[in-house]
Amino acid sequence: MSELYDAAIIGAGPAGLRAAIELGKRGARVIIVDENPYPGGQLFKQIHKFFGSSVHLAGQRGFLIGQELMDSAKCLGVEFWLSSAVWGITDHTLAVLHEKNTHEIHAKKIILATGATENAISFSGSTLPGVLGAGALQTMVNLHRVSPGRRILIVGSGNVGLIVAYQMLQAGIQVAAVVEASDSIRGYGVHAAKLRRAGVPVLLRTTILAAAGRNRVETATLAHLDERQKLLPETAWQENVAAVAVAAGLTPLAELAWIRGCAFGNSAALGGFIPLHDADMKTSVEDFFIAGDIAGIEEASTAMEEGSMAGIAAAQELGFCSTEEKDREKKLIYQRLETLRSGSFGHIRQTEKIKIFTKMKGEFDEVRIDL
Amino acid sequence: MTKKEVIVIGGGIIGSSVAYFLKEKGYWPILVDKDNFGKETSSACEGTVIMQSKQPGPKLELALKSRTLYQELSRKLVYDIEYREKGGLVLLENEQQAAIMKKTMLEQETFGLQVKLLTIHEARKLEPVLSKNLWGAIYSDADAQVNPIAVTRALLQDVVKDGGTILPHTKVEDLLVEQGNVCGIKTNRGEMRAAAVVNAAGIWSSSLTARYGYEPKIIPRRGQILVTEAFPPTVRHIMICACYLAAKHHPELLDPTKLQHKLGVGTVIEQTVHGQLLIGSTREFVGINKETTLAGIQEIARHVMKLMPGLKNINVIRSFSGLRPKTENGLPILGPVKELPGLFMATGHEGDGIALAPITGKILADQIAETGILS
Amino acid sequence: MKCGLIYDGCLSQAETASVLPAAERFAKGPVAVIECIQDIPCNPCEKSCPHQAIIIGDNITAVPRLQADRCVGCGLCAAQCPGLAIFIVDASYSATEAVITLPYEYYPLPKEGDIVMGVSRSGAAVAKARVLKVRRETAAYGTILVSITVPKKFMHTIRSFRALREADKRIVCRCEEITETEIRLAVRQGANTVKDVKLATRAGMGACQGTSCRREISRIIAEETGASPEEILPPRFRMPVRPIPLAQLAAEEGKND
Ligand SMILES: Cc1cc2nc3c(=O)[nH]c(=O)nc-3n(C[C@H](O)[C@H](O)[C@H](O)COP(=O)(O)OP(=O)(O)OC[C@H]3O[C@@H](n4cnc5c(N)ncnc54)[C@H](O)[C@@H]3O)c2cc1C
Ligand SMILES: Cc1cc2nc3c(=O)[nH]c(=O)nc-3n(C[C@H](O)[C@H](O)[C@H](O)COP(=O)(O)OP(=O)(O)OC[C@H]3O[C@@H](n4cnc5c(N)ncnc54)[C@H](O)[C@@H]3O)c2cc1C
Repeated sequence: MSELYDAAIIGAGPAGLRAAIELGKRGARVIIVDENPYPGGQLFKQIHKFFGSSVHLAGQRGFLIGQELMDSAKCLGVEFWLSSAVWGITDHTLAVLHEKNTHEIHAKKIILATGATENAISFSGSTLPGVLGAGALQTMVNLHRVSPGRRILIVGSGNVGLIVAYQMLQAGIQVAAVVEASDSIRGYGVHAAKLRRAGVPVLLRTTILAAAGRNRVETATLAHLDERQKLLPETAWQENVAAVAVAAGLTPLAELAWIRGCAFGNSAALGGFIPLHDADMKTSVEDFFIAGDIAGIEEASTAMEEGSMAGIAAAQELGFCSTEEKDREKKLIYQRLETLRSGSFGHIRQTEKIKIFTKMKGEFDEVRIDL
Repeated sequence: MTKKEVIVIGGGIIGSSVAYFLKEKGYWPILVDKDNFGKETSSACEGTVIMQSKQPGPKLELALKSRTLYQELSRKLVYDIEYREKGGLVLLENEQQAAIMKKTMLEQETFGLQVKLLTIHEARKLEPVLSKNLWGAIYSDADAQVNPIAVTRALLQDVVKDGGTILPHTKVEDLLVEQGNVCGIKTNRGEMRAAAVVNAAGIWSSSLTARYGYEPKIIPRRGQILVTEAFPPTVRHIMICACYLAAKHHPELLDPTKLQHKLGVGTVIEQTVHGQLLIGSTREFVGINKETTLAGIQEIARHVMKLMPGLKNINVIRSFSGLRPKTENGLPILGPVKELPGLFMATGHEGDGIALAPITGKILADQIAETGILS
Repeated sequence: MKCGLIYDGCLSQAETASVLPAAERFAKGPVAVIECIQDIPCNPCEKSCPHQAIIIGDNITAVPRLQADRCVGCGLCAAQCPGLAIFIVDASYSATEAVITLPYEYYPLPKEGDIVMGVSRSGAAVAKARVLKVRRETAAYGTILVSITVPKKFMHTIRSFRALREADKRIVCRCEEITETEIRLAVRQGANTVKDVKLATRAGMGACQGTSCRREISRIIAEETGASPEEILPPRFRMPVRPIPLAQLAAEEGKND
């Protein structure tokens, strides 16, 4: 079974789905592979209404956006392999664990839209059952409807921490607090405001020292930090909680790009090491594109724009659209991206993205892992 | 242009109103009080906004303007200040009182205050609790009531909402004077500087400036008040007795040998929004002494029984007293102090501070703006 | 501690002031209060408004601006804002009460007529509220709009509600019907003596003059402020210490001078 696809897309999140739509609508033969049984990537477990632009379906609940994108892609004849993990890559071939067997997929163009993975942090007791990533907690509660216990603690006040905390409240789970080491709330104020109205404290300059319990988490020990982020051990206190959800940021999920030999750059603001890419979302490797959180941790709306960009650029290389059409679309996409990457939350990502583009042109040292 | 800060000393109703109008004019008020706000005279008083009681002249003029401001405030402030235009009655016990009041009525009308003389029969139709033995009453629909505690709180809430600062438990110990100019205050919590300082410290106002040679006479004049249990709305108007006015403006007409007049008792009665009656009051010079006395509260009860025997079964549950900041000429002290540039006074309202609070605030804010401190 | 949205997740007073339409507009009837002050990339509110009263423009990170004269207070924006940051405030509801319409996403839903506890931006109980209406907008993807009536003085304070708890129902001052929650709130706002609590809430102003609630109020103050109960002095006692009818109080002149 070795058909040749025009394009294979790894990851059916907003980035991958938008790429598939752009390719599909121009007549390319496309397959999209995702290890999850549901489409939408991060979106499928998001029961909150997405912020963002109404052009990117914001205002709808995340899982519905995923569904809507998949429906449009399917209408365009895009082939879907869900519950299928890509575990290897060489040249134009993907190795996929699909229906309990390894299958190969061959494609002229490959678009990697694998998103990101949650960062773990360690503290005494951080391996106890009950300490988990905020995303994992979200999957557990929103998808599998399993409660972690009556009362939980959230570590990290970025949007993920704030949103997951709110979703826990909606599920009837008490949130003891959201703790944050820095001296201001990292995520959007409106998300924090929802928690505050429900009486949940957001404790700044506070960290978790330990989680403890007999067989699983029963208590968490917290303490404050001074202005210089130095721990103040005398301020330590305990909270009775059944789970500690860590929302300490995301890292781009880029193993397949490393293996494929892409050049990488590092940007703390974008989540760490990311494959270098140009404004067409092309990496340093021929026929190999990336889009979405793997190209820098951002948001669903930016992921969709990047996905579209990658899809259109691949379509153009494949001859499904003219250079003029691509340039026209590209201009519009970058206009929208520029506004999304403005403001006090976004502008740093704009600066960092430009650094990545410049590096891609070879003006900076490349980072490459020897194979 | 950055906004200029103005310090206001004293968070009674006067200081709060000054802070409010300063804020409205674009200043940043900083209001300090030695205790929590509104705990002194402004919460130990009644809440009548009576026009009829004001001496025709500057005071009546101020009061009429203040009333218009109350109408605006009650619309604008989100906090219910319980402002109600109930109308008021001046109760006349005899022909002699009627004669004095008739003269006043004529003068009041020249200031645009409409008043109407009623026979006791007509008056009892409006207010059945009145005694048949009275001579009559003067009615004005311009009289109103307000809850002074709520006014103070509402003004403060609005000041804070718009970015003003209020500092309770901050006692002003001295003024900060440099080259003869007042440029701030010294408090138990440190020094503070500002473009101007307003002294609205009620009966304590003059002690702050005494050491700089400016010591207007402000004498505490105690007033005792009775509070009754709450009952359904019955007393529909704000009522004062004509001898209250006499006590206020013509003490010489009173018989100094009678206990009533020794204590300066003149009845002022209102039923609050919460159903309780507030019945005042005495006018005594006893220094800073907030006791209530048996003689005082009994005399108030006696007098009201004479006027409104219909209230005889209503239970009195409490008495309290407050200290009116009285000046020598009976007029408030408003405006800049020549001897101390940078300092403004807003004090000495005696028994009219609630009624005059809004106009006081407005005048002070206007005066401060006129001096060009905001530039 | 510094206050403001980025420090404690609640608008500070100055931030609140910056989002409120003019007082005159409130007097005219329901109007949207958009509590969104950060330049985040988000704009569904702009599209949601059938009257084009909300402006963000092409720059999606611009803060929404309300053209208050165009707003009719329909609530469609409140239903659609992903940040649940828009509230409709109707100050014209009655002389003493305002209606706040707010987005709500918890089960169980309240029922019309329920008495609930109105809470502030920081979740503190403020005052009881009555559920006037529970409305589902199709465009809201499940967000429910709940309208509650609140005392007018709290229309800029109350921003959510919760079911009544024991303490909300527990009346401390029986005469004036003041609850434990109301007293605690006053103490948290700075009232640290029995008199302060009385001025702030009316607790103790009623027929029994605090006989039944005074100790309880002292206990609550001590508990909230961390003071020891002995430090909380009783309020000033005044005559008469028993209720006494006016006629009896007015015993004949001269007896007592
Ligand atoms: C709690 C939370 C709330 C958020 N809220 C918002 C919001 O309100 N608005 C907004 O704009 N953004 C929001 N985001 C961010 C947004 O979800 C992401 O930025 C966006 O989903 C990124 O899209 P993506 O397509 O790059 O990656 P993802 O959505 O992460 O999708 C990647 C997909 O790739 C699949 N995959 C990865 N590796 C493999 C493999 N080897 N084989 C097969 N499949 C693989 C994954 O299973 C996944 O489905 C939120 C994120 C989180 C965690
Ligand atoms: C019995 C009675 C009945 C009354 N009835 C009416 C009525 O019906 N209608 C009417 O119009 N008026 C009435 N009044 C008059 C009215 O109550 C007063 O005129 C008014 O309250 C005065 O307000 P104030 O702000 O000047 O004084 P206060 O309320 O006494 O305020 C002064 C403030 O200054 C503070 N302060 C003092 N010194 C310092 C310092 N060094 N540092 C910091 N802060 C300081 C005090 O703590 C106090 O809070 C009545 C008065 C009494 C006593």
